Amino acid sequence: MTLPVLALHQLCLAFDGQSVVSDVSFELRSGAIGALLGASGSGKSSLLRAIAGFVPPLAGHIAVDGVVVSSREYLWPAHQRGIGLMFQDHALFPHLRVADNIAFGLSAFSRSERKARVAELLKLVGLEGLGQRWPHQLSGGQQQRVALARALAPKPRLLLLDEPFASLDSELRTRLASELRELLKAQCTTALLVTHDQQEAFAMADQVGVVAAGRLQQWASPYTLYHEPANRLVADFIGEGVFISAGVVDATSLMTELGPLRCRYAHSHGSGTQLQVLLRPDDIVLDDRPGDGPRATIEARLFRGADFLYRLRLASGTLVLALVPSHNEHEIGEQIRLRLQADHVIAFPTAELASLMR
Amino acid sequence: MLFSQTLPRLALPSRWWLGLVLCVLVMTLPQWVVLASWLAPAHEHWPHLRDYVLPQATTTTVLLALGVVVGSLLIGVPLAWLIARYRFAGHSIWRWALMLPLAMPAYVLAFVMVGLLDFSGPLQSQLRLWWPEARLPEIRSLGGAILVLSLSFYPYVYLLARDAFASHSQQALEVAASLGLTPRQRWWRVIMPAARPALVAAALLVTMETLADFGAVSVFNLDTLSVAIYKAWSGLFSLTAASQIAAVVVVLALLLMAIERWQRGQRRYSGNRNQPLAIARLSGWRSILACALCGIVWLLAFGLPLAQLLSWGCAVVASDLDSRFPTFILNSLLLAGLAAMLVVMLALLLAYGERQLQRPAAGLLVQLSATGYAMPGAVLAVGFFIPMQWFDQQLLAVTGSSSPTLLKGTLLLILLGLATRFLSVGLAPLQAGLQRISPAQEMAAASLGVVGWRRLWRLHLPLLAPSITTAALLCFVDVMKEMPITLMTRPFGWDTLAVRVFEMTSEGEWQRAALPALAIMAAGLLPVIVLGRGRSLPS
Repeated sequence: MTLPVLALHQLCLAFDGQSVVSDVSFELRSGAIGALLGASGSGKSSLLRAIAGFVPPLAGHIAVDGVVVSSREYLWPAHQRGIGLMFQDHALFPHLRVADNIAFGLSAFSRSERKARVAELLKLVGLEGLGQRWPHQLSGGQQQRVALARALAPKPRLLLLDEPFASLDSELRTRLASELRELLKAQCTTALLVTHDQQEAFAMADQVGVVAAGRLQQWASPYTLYHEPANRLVADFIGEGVFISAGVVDATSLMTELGPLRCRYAHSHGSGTQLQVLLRPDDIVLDDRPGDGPRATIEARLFRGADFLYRLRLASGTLVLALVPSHNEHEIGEQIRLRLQADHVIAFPTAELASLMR
Repeated sequence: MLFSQTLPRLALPSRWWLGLVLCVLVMTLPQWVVLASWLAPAHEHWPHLRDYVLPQATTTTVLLALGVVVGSLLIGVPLAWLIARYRFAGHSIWRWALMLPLAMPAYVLAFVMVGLLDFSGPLQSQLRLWWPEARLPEIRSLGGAILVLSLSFYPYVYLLARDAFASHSQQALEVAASLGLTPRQRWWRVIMPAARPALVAAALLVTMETLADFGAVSVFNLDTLSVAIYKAWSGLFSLTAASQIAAVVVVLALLLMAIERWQRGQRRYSGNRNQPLAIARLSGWRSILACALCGIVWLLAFGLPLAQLLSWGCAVVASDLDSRFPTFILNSLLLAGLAAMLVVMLALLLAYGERQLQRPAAGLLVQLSATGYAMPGAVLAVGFFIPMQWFDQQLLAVTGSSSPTLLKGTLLLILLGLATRFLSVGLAPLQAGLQRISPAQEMAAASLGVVGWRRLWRLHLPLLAPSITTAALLCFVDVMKEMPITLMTRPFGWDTLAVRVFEMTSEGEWQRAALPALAIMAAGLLPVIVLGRGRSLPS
């Protein structure tokens, strides 16, 4: 079994005596793309800088290819780690042309090798013929690709990307994210990115970690994060949805004010426990057929093109969200009937929430 | 109809153009006059000038300028890096105190150093008591002048380099590290290239100051071009010779200005709001070493000279604080006050006119009027004296008056020279201040019916008040320190503090120059204290 390219083991970071993140552990296999997702100030960027070798850990360690490079006692110099870095503002060197920026880390190469490698990278990122431009003559997207080429040029063991798309406009972002993923996959580059944007993380990464409240809350695939969040913090951070109260009926069913909810897998909560169930907007279906059932008033609606996002108020006063195909149009103030249609039931005991929210 | 009345006219453009063109004509007059002197027919001093004075003075000036640039970079850059990158014992004090030498005019540092290190000075006398054969290298030499002027001008390098280093992107450094560069390679391949525009700008500033210096080099008996102008004027009594030497200086100054323009155009901004340089804390002996380095430079450039001045001042205070001393002070204050007022008014006219006209040509005219900053005072003195003399002669012919001088013996001549020299000092803060007033604010005022002069009075002037204070204060201090223009164009017997310093030092009376020097420095400390704490560069 091969060693993971990157492994963090119970890593704790502090800044000026203030703990930033603690007890962070995860692994990244060769060729995999990981993402750390969190709000600004959650400590995700500090984790990245620690991996790059600029921040010493307070406890725990970081290993690259099975070798410990950062621990409390020992900090391997950043310039010997072979870890590439790409920043939000690209940090291109304004005094060097594009080609010289890309060649910056290639001092060990011979002149002709360097030239060949630069040409190869310009082609790879689609900037052929722009090698003699100055950085300030390029658009934001082009600058970003130069930064990528520069980071990839010395063939780093691991590429770290700090909010790589944050300085670009939102249209470009999603397109570039999937482009970048394909490019990294084609090069078999192991990469870890840091972002606050869930779409970006999901578009780029095989494994996503949610950093919140000073901890790595969950490290899993995007699908798992969305459908099986480990706790309420993750559930809140990923996707839209509303928590409503539910009572346990038996091992596979719950009772909510919108009716019974059947779980695909048995849960471990005892009968009678009060739970909070996460209802995604796509878990609630509008029922236009005549009949009884829970009713709700449409409070607001947001037209999103293919669908409407309705905000609905139940008779009890609880608010829920419903995602409804666009041709199914209802007016604000209208009374409609609802049905639950959830494949994945996400539920946490009410008590656990209270402790987390403190 | 309701909206039939025409909109009020915002300004009369032609008047602004007239004002701007007039300013340019007056302010660049000395340069034209001086350059035109090469067209004058050959005169008795020309062979001497051509064979001895010009080649020697030019060589000395160029060598001095090169030496001072290298010296001030060697002192200023390490200090700037130390302050920008590290924290150590006394950091916040040194950060500020290392600018203090700006308050000590170069000629003051020069005469104190010569007085201290001369053959008959206290240091060498003491050494001879111990070892009769002991000799220090002659301080009154090119090397001595380079050392002293470097100590005097390093703050320009320090300030510009410190700001450049402090605003350097931490991320660029981290990228360089991730690409395998050692700390030393990062310094040479990332930090220095990024700081290069600031260092070039500082080197140019130092070169201009060296070129303009008159008082310090004359203490060192060094025949630079500025001194040669003065000697041709006061020794040979040849205005033509003086202005022919001045023409060489004008060419050098124009060359420097061209380099300055070019390198400003070269400056590239990344346009990103970078994370600034990470700060490293020094402790133990490293901290003491850093502190000692700052302390040595500060002591040499400011602390020790000030102590020596104070001790000399105390020694002569009883005899020198006579009835003439308050006159020197009053004359200095009067001249500095008048010049500051004139500069602020001219600068306001130019900056506001440029804004009203909104044309590139207006900007060019304003820049042309401010070219006096690169011209040494001796050049401006000659360049204004000649037309004034001509004007006097025409006036005499008309009026038939018997007095030989009408204009050239008045303060008007000095004030013109001073205003030309220091216009850019006043212009920069006012232009910056006007830029902070948005067109939207002007439009809001116009929509409320406040236009023209009323708008200038009610909107611009109140908002510009801090900029005007800065401009006036900086000009005031520069005029207090100014020596050659005042010396060469003052009315006969009308002495200021700077003139007094020159007269005492030219006779080697170091002690008696201490009191006027201290008075000048007291005024010079004002802006360093008032503006220096918040601002990065007071000029």
